[in-house]
Amino acid sequence: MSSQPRKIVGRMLEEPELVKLVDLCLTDQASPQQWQTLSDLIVERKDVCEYYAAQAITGARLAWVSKIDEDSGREILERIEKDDLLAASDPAMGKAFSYRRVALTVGAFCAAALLLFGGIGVSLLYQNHALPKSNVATSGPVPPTILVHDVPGKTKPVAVFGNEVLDLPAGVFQATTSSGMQVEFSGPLKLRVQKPMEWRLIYGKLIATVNPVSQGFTVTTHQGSVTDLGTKFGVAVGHDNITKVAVYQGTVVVQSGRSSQQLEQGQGVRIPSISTLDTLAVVSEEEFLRVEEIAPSVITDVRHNGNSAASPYRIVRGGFREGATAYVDRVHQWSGLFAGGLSPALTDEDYVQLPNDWKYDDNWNLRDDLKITFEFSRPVVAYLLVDERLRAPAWLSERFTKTSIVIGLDKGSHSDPRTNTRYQLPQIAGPGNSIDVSLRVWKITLPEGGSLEIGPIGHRSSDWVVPGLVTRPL
Amino acid sequence: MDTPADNPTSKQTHFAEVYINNQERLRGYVYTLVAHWNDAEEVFQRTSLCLWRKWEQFDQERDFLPWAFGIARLEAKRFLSERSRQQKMLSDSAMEALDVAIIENSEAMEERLAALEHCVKKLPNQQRSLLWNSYKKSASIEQVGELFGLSANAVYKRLRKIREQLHRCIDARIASWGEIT
Repeated sequence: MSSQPRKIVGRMLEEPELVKLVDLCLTDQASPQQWQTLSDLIVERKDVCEYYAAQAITGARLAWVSKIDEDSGREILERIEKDDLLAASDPAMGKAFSYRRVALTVGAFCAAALLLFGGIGVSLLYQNHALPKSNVATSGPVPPTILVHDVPGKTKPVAVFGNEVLDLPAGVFQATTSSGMQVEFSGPLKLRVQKPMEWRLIYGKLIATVNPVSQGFTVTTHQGSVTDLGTKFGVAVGHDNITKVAVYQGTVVVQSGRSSQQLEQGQGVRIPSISTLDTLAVVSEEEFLRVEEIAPSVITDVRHNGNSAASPYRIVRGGFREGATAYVDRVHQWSGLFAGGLSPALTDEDYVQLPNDWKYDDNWNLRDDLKITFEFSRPVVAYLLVDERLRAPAWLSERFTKTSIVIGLDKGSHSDPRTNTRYQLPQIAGPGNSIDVSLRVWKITLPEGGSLEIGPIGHRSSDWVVPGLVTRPL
Repeated sequence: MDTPADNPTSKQTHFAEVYINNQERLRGYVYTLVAHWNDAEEVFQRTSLCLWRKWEQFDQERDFLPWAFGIARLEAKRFLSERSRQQKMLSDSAMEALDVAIIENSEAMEERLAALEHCVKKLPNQQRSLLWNSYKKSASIEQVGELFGLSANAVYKRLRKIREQLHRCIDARIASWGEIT
């Protein structure tokens, strides 16, 4: 909770000579005297210390990603296998354990490499897998991350690329991935490909058969994450909105909040709430994928005193994202204020499309006493998006926490003779491209769910917009 | 949360998990100690190897990173000493300051890495290609210069500019995220 600008650790130094000094040292061009100068600065100045650390860590990541196709993992493994001390460290365990140790090391190293670098590595590899032979740099075409076959109404397999959302109807579908995994999806299903090796399952079910090159593949849900260590496993967010994990072959690691557990073949867990891992009896794959209704949104009802002729509101399951429609009666879209995009804290969560016409009374005059009540079926964190042009009312400051997150609204055009409104504004896809309104995010936690009443919202004589609401189940 | 048992297999599994969770921080720390990517990678591998040799000495009740960073410092000094380059490294007190900074700010550093992917994608193709080639194990700066028709000095200057661009992009992206709560 803070209205102060976010502290950025490792922020760029605004002293060019220091930036150059750090670069000289990190690229091995510095003299001993320059090394000494930098050492003194690192000790004396925290900003230099953090900047240097940030530069070095960035370099480490870039170096690793550039080498990911050089199989340095195999190199270190070979060295470990040849290392006599390793085998001698526990003679009582004998050869079998030595083998097990090396196998574990292999798994650990591969998992580490792929878990930590898989996403970015594969992602960047796709863009750079054929480094230029000439001095003209080009990027090859990026293959789709997922191809889903035999989707009703589609003549060709449905292709899903990075950062896109897969939305499937009821049914079971076969899919293949660009890294060679076989996946069965059970719809209704909504899933975002955050990175080729990291998917966010919003709802629905899947069973992934993970091939060796895809080890480290991770599926996250609103309650936790499942990371493959060489296996076939299922993840479901079904009718009860609870994450379930079942392992059919091999091993996975499940993490939720402060809890983590390694699951072997035949084991399963359910995650009723964050940090709670309950044992789950594993059912057959067919039963696991059995088609079922998805859980309704945690938002169950919205009441208001706004214009009674306005369009009905709409609750969107897992739909808050860049370009999502903001109101039921406008073409306005939610958008990141800057090129960085929307805050990850809100992306893919449930939200309500309210009518922006609620800001009028029944005579189509702007009102200042709009009140809205939201009902929630379970514990939630609610994020209220409030037009920054409005004066923050006392109830908002007292009950909600002001975050430093600001969301943009790209308005586009609108015309309505009832309110004598007519404007034509450009609407350009992508964050930060044509923001017309900024909305501050205010947060409130409702540990029991229930009702949340907001208002009066206030008003201003010229343009303003009705608040938005995004929720995250606790 | 599972609690590692005292038997060697569980202990080793626990060590593997801790190692996995901290591997990138360790790699980052090694890169602060040793200039040039290839040398840093060599020291990182030596450090990892040493940690795996000593896994039984790892005290599960204590933090992994200070222990691992200590080993990394020793490996870095040994490596630079072998190459008669003791003068071209940070002082002990600077290494310790970095040790503390990286542990204290590990989440912030992870955020920077999360933003890095986006920022690399935003680079024009030619800049991105120059960047990747400069990190290639087999390519010297002179060879990269030949590939792009540039002098070694020009490559250094361009790379410095690219790294600065990336750094500013990461700063801006993190600022735009706001507080994640």
